[in-house]
Amino acid sequence: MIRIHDVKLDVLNQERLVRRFEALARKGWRLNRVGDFFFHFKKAEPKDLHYYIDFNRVTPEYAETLKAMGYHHIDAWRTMHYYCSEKNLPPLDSDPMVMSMSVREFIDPKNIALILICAGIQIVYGWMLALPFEWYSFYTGTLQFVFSLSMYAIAFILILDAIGDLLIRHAFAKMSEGIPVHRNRLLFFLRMTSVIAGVLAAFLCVLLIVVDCQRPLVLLLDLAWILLLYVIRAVFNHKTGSIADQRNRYAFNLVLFLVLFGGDLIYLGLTRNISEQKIQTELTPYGSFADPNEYVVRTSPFLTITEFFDPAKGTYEEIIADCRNEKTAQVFFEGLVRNHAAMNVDGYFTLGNDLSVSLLPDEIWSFDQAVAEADLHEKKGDQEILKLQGRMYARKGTGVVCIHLPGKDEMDAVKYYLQDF
Amino acid sequence: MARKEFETLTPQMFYILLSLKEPHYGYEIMQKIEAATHGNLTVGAGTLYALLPKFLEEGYIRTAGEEKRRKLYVLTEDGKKKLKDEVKKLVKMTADYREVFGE
Repeated sequence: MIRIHDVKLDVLNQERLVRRFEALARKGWRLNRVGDFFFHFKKAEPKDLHYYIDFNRVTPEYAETLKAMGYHHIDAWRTMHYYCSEKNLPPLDSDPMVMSMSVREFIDPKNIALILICAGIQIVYGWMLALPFEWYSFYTGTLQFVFSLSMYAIAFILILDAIGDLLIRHAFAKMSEGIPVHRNRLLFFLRMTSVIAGVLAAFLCVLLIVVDCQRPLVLLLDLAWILLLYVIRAVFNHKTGSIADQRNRYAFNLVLFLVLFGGDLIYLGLTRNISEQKIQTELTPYGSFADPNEYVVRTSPFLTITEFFDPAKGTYEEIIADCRNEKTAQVFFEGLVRNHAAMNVDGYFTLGNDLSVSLLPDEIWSFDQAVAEADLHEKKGDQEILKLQGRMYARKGTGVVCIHLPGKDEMDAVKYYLQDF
Repeated sequence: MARKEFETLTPQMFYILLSLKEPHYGYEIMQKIEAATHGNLTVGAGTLYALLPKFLEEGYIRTAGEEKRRKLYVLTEDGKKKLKDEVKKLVKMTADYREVFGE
């Protein structure tokens, strides 16, 4: 049988936890293993067992003494050790002051600092990814923005974790000085943070799987790393025996975090190189707007997004291969407009020499809307000119651009661009 | 400077130090305290083994060899002084109490 648990609540609620274990033992369920999030109970003969929780590092001499006294070691979560006995033995921690010292050592400030450093890294990473986006880009499903929000969510979970740890340390420090603690309030806060962190973590797991499924190699690598690290930990624990202090758990989690973080950075680095290579080889020195290969959208200091098109309507390669096909170009263009509205790019793209173009304003989502709101609209064949919000826009085929030609009148620039208008 | 937790010794801390006038190992210390206090005070194994390294760190006790793979601990001069200071505090408190209640 498996039961979910939260270490912070266990630390604060030791008496209740012990009573719960004893009630389960009477029903024939004995505590067998203590995991990060779960207790594992095994079926056994119903018995009156007594449980004990202790926060001391286990030295060989201490282990031997406990064994001789009749305390049977079950498992440990870091230095939080779980014991049981058939006899009613005295409590292991008889002095509240010493217990408070042990708990404060268990919730090590170094670990809290480590958690906050990890949160800081996540915030910086998330910020770097989010730099080029507006808040509403999340709804366009832009991958990097989703990543960025995930980073903030992880940072939020870590900060909640650190706050919980600090509050517990503070509560035990007060208890040791005989100052009363609002235990129920603290328990409520910790329960709430557990629920929030749990929901966010579940959401992130689903997100990671969905995102990773789009890049199977990274998914496999991530899974292989996690598996390898768990195997190493299992072997380590097996060698040292279950009574060993599980101090390696934080180190393990840190390594796991760094590996996943590093893996993603390498992935982003690799994709960036590939994107830039593609653009370099496909870029033509001078061309018309209808040729989508000429666009490079700068996003963040280290990211280049090449997914201008709507992936549901065709892959990047398909559009590249068939970019002169009007239908595909239109699909490309629509995607480009949407992404432009979603991304905080400057909207100007150099098309060789000194000609630069920009897309429709952010609030305009279609050419029809632009025509409806235009101050001036002229049409000739498949080419159109319109003046909107004081700027000239040209449409050639399916493309809409705003033309700026330094030193020339905007209308001249538009005509220069459209050539035969 | 002594850590904040040892500014005033709790009864358990006091009796652990008191029992180490002669070298003893962990389990013996617990038995000795129980005998000395006629069963009025029991020191949990967790409390004892949490305090021993801290007392070593503070210099109140030192190791005095090993017996059957178990470390023997004994009081140092600093430990004796700490006990003496603690007793002085208790005597002062007792005197103050008597002055108020006259018993």
